[in-house]
Amino acid sequence: VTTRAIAALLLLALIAATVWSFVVARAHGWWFPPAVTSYGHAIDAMFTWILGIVAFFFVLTEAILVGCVLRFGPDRKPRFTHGNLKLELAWTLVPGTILVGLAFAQLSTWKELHASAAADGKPLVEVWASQFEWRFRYPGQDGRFGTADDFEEPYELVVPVNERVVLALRSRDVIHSLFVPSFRLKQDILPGSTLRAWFQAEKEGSYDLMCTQLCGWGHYKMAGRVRVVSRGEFDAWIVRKQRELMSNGKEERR
Amino acid sequence: VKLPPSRRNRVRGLPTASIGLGVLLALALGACGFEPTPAPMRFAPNKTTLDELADQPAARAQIAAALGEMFGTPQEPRYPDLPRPVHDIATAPNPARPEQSFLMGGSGELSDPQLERIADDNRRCFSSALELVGEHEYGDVRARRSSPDLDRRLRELASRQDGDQDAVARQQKSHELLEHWYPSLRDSAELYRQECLHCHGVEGGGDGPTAQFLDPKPRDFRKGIFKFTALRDQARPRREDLLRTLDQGLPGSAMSNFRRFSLAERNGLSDYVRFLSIRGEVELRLVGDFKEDGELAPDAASKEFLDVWGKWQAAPEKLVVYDGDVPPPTKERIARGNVLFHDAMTANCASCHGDGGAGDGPASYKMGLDGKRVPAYPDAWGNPIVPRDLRQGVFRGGSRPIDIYRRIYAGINGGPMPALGAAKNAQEQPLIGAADLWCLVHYVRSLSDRPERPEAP
Repeated sequence: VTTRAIAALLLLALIAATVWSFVVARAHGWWFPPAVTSYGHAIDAMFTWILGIVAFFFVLTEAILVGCVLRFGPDRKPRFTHGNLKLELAWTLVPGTILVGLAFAQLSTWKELHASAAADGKPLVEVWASQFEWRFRYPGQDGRFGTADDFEEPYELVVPVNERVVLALRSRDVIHSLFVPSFRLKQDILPGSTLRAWFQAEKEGSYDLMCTQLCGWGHYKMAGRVRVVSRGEFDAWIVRKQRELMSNGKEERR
Repeated sequence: VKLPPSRRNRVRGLPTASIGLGVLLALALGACGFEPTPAPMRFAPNKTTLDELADQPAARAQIAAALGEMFGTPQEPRYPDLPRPVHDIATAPNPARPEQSFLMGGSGELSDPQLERIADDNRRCFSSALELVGEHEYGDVRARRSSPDLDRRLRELASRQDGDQDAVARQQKSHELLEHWYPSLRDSAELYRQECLHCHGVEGGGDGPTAQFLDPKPRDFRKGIFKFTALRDQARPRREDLLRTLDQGLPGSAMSNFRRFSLAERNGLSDYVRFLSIRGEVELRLVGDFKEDGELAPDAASKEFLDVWGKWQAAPEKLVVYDGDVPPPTKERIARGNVLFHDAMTANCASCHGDGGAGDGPASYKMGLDGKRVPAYPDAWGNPIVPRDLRQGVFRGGSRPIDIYRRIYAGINGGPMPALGAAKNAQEQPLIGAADLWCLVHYVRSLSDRPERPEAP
């Protein structure tokens, strides 16, 4: 009787906790920030599908567990069996089918992110990760990196809206990872190689950017921002930065 | 005593259970917003003080008392409340707001455009708090943990029980508080403890717990020397120089940029760095005074403070600027820079920075006792110094042409990099003119130009 009571309480607690966590999360907005990139919605759809499938099986298995505890009390001796072909086939084939299905379902999105022509385009910005900050290097008005009019901007990545932006990702020391939650963009950065990432932001604004690979004692401070602006604003910003680059220091006089 | 098994288990289980309970209690307290009162902190004496006055406990006590009297504690930092003279020196460039004197931790030094930029930034940072104020929801208005003074003033305003006729005034006041917020010295000290202390130490001695893992070492502010400024003659940095380091970081070192924090907070941090530097330098000077005279005059501390403070005031006119536009980096200029870079009679950069600019010149190393090459020069803090590998394109003090110009012109304070702008040749003529200096700048910058790089797979 006690075991059953505990099982029943457990079931109730589980349901209550599930409902409560959803209510609280909703009230506080504890969810992803809205996706603002072209592929963000495809990634969210994938996430929702996987969450649904996992939630279904979670509830199912927990219900079976609790049901068994309720049905077969402590007074009944368990019986052990070995080998049940039907059961084994079922619990192999069902998850297997689902996993293969998911693998095929995400192919097109994966291809868009990593193997499309967009990812091979000319980089707009060279992203330098180092312990523990982000520095963004722009090619300047000649559009070529590694020339005298390159300029560097720490902390803030400025990009034009509704345009494909290709990033060249480089690290000065250890493995870092670029993460822009609102863009659904996450890419490891390996020292010694130049990796690519791209996005097309569809909404102007300022978004969080962070390192999401533990990179040392100062990992927590490796934050930045992405500022998405209109093309006109972006061009004006480049011009202003070029002027700052060629400053003779006089504007610092008060 | 042999306990029955069940009892033994219970005894053994007790510590685990109490740890678990403790953790739960801590979590619960944390969830309720309970914060323990921080233990009182104090500024420890400089190691130099302890070494130099090892057998002079009375002198050490006298210096500690004078410093405590003038500068307070880490939690209650203050500038000395001296009569007239100090206020005469601390002339605020904005005389319209004398009550905002920098000596009281105010924004009195800032120009109107600077204040406007801070107000803009505050509006952005406090947007949600300002929204709440707009809706008269004072109960939920919070600033941030690192600015207890601002939080206290907001709470005071929120708890005021006045009639409806004062509602507008209260709203206006809260708005003003948030919009024109400038951190007090105490607020900045709090933020310093959260963000800077673990490298730079409580006293700004560059000896925080993380410092031992770092190379280059964090700056010890107490000598009053700051390596990378826009000034010549090793002048004390301006507020803008310290702010630049916080905004841009020092690439290639563990000093990252601090743009995560608002403009007001970054200004406040540079105020606090200056405070620590002045305090530390006064301490060193008092030790020197004692060594010289065998005693300390009653007004020694205030005299030294005025002297050090005066040095910080002299900074603005030392700014290195160039009259005219920066000459563009033509092939001819870069070629000319190449010649100067290697010319032993003029710039002679190659002697330290190496023929290829890799930072491996013969003058920068010496043979150690074990036959290995070791850096030849220490900096003012006793750390071994290696010349910059210019091919990396990583420049601590910034990579713009004017930044490199200033570096070559004014040198690096406290390091072996000389100030070529002031150097004279045997005929008392300037060693390098401005035009040639720009050639050097463009040559140095060209060393890291590798146009093919990002396009490589």
